[in-house]
Amino acid sequence: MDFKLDKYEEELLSGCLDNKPEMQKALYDRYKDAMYTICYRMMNDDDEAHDVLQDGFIEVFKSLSKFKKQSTLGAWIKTIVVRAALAKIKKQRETVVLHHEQHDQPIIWDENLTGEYLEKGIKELPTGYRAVFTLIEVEGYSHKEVANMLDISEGTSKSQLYHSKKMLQGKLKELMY
Amino acid sequence: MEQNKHILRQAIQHLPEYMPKESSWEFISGKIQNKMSSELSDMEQRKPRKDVWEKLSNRLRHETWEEENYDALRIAIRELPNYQAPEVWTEMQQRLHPRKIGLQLENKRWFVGIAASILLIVGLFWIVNPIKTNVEGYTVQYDVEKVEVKPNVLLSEEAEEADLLDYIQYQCASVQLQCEKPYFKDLMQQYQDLTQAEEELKKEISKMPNDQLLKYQIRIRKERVEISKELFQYLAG
Repeated sequence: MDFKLDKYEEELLSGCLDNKPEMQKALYDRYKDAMYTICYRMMNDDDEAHDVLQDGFIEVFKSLSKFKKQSTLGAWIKTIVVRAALAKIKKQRETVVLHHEQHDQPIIWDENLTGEYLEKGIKELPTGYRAVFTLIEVEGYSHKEVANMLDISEGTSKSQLYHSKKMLQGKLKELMY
Repeated sequence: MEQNKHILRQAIQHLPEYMPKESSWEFISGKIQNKMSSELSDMEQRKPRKDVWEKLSNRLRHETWEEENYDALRIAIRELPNYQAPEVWTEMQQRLHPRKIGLQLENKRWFVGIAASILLIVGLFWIVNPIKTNVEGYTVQYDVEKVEVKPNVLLSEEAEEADLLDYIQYQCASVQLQCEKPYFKDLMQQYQDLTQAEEELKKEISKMPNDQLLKYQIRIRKERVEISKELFQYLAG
């Protein structure tokens, strides 16, 4: 399915493909905050989020000719930026820790959970768990997509999400009470 | 030649009916079962590999772990803060156009130098020969009118649901990353479910008008409108 871009985005896209700096800046301005929020949440560090944002957008501009309009432009940019973040995490050798325990305990979310506490809880998660939780629960990626990005199986992605939630639940208890 | 055939027909209509013995079916079904079981016993039996159940149960466990108060998590996710990107454009531009930037800066210095010289010459000329003008008495006034579009105004009429949906679809088709978020997707799913439910109710009502069904339809429509407003508010931020 092809997504129809609005007139302005078409203009931006064509300007960026012609390598026009003002159009590149306009595209960057349009998405920078949303992308930075994802980078910051995944990296949990201002400087690293800053680097990932740069690397991600450089890759966006280099790859724009490959954008086939099979998603919205924003979703396409987001995927590239997320991949840049994951590449950085892998470089740091903070790979996703795999657990093979049984999922036999229920996860119970506290009625008083707020965005503020959740943000603090996410920040305390190890990098791999933070990435999986952010990508699936906050950004809405499917297990299949995450498995593809992290080069793991869907089952592992599900398992990682479970463990990240269990850990998050523990962290939230400490933070809230 | 046959006479009084109607009498025969009437008599035929009154012929008695006979019931089979109760044991008949037992006999037939016993025969069938025997045949089937003998055929089944002749068939080759295959057993699944031992690890199938293990894999299956693992998958089930992954897919169905218990989670209570999931809504509390969804609400908290919605409240997560957004961050402003730091100023990294200059560095990025240098990476994207390294030579051009150098040239541009060099050209800029020349341009600034030339412009400063011209201003100096013109300034000196004015000091020596002041220009006489007849434009005294004119004043310039500026009126600034700030126009604000309040989303609530748009939301006041139920009839505007279609406009809201157009707006939502337009936003999602172009730029809105919010549309990819699970919260938005959940709401959209609810909206679609309600739309489908209303369609089904409409069909029922057209077949058999009924006050109770009409009441349901009104309730569903109200909920739908509420959800479309919520979708709009979510996108409008």
